[in-house]
Amino acid sequence: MFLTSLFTAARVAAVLASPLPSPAPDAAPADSLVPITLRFRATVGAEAFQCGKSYADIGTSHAAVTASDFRFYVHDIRLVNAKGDTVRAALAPVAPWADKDVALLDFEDATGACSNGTPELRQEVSVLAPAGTYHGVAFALGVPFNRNHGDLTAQGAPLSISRLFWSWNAGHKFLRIDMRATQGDSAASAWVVHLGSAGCTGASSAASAPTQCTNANRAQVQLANFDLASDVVVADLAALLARSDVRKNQPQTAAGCMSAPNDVDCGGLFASLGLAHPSSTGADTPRFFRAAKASAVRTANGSDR
Amino acid sequence: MRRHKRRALAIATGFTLVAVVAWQAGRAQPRPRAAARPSPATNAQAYRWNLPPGFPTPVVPDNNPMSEAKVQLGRHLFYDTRLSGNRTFSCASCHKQDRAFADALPRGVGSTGEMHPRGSMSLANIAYSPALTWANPLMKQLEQQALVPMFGEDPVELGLSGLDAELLARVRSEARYRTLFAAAFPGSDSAVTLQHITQAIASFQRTLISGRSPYDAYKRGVKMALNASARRGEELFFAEKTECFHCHGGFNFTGTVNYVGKGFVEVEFHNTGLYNIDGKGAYPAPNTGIEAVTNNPEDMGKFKAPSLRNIAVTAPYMHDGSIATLEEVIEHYNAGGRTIRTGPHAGVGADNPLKSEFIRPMGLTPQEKRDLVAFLRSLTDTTFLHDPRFANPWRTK
Repeated sequence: MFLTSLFTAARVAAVLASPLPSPAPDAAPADSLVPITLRFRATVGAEAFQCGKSYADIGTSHAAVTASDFRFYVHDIRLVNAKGDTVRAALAPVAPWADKDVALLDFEDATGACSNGTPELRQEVSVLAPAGTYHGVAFALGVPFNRNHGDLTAQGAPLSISRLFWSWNAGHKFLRIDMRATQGDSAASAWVVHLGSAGCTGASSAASAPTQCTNANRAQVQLANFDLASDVVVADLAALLARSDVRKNQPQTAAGCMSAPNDVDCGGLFASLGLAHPSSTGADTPRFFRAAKASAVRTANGSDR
Repeated sequence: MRRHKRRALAIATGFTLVAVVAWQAGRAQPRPRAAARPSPATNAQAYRWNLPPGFPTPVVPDNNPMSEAKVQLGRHLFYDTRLSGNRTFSCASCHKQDRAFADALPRGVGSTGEMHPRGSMSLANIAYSPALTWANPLMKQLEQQALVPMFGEDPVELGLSGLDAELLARVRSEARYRTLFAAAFPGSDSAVTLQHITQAIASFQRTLISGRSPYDAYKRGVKMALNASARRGEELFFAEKTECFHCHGGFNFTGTVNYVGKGFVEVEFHNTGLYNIDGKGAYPAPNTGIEAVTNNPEDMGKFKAPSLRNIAVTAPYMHDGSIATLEEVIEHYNAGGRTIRTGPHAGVGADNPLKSEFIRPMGLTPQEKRDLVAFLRSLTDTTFLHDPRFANPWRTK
């Protein structure tokens, strides 16, 4: 599908300039690679995330929020072996969730408030890595630069989802969580998290994609003491919003945070993701991602997929 | 099929193509406004543009060559309310032919009633514009830009986000599209896809070329086409006294222009001293110009200088519709920037430190102001505003 799309000259050049799909230098020969599953869970504090469910006591104003989307992309998966060395893990393409460069995690099931989503869920990433014992995991949140700025109408899965297009920034949303939060008068108003690369600029030639972004906003996540067999990566919305007041929005900015450096509503979110921001709430902000025992994390439907 | 061969060639020789494009772009063009004769090397040569006299050939993306069938498909899609989530809006809802494909609102209103921070821009001669919108340097190609009104959510315009599958199903269900897609994308390419939809709309938009105004007739030697006031206005427009032409120069009356053989793509954004709310040059959020995209503080208040063709029918003016008439626009520039005395936007635009160096007090007499307005009114191309080739095709059957 991808290869049959019509390429612009610039696009062909971009594809040819991207790294070849050869194994990373520290990867073992392909025949000794084993499939490994990295499991993710979306929660709101101790509760499993569910579309349309109301969660209490969120953020600095203890608001009730109801979410209508919860999806993100990851790439550049790495594992830490027994010797403490970091080993690249190649993404195993699994249509439509992952190709060799980027994988989508999807916790909305198109029910209720999530009606603009997709029914399918995806709560794991499949990788190929040398057989061995691993004690840590690392990954980047987002879409790699060389895949982020292509022709949005010519993308194959998982970059083909229009809800994750970030057309005005010529890229994709890396993380999307949409919410409504109760206000002081009990009315609920929109408060969304749209993370992606901003401050993007390019050459002046007619069709060129951005060549750089001042705010790349790809969060690096490292989880030590992670047992692939028994642990899951938890993406906790309550932690993400711990230092945010979702009952307020800075006037004349996006409702919530759409990654603008001048939007103070981004400060708590960016800190929770370990990203720099002028309004960052600091290093002690609870982190969005953490490791937890799978048995200790409730799931919405008890299933892995 | 021939088309398939061409595509295979394009993929196989990607680097060569880049080189060819660069070579074409670098070829010398003896006179920028000379009528561009189709040359065997240009991808546009197979299509008959029916260009106004003296107009150069628009640049067309290599992967979306022009064809009459594609233009006709694009015209149907442009006017089709299936292209909004709630089936109430089409592209044409905000880009109306009798308004030179802009509208009469200060700021656009989308399919769900949400107001856009900025006004709908005229699509006249958009084929010549290498930067498409008021304040986003990333919007360079119509195929790409179409996704913003279709799928954008801040603000919602057509409201199609998350409805891409439904959009394709709606289009497939219309019998007339079966013929149109097959003709526009012959062979195995005839599928209804998002890419084909945006390519066809872009092809139609590129045909929206306006260059048959009284002023154009005057420049071709029909001296009676302009009255004495408009002629004096033209002289003023191109004089250092006003400096209008620095940002609104060339055949399309904008500095942001490109065409086959131009050699250099020019993209300009200017701060014209319309606001200065903090004395340091600030424009009211969210309309901070390209700063909102680049995050560069120096870009505060920088917007594209739109083409002035058909400007008399696209009131109100400026990116936010904050000036009602051409006469008041002239006053703003005559003062070297707008002063707002009270309210949240109060400030002396003339003192905006980020203002273009060409915006400075002009000292125009009342007659000179009238002459400039008369000149601007001579840029209205009534043929274009009523050309049946650009009209709603769903109404004619």
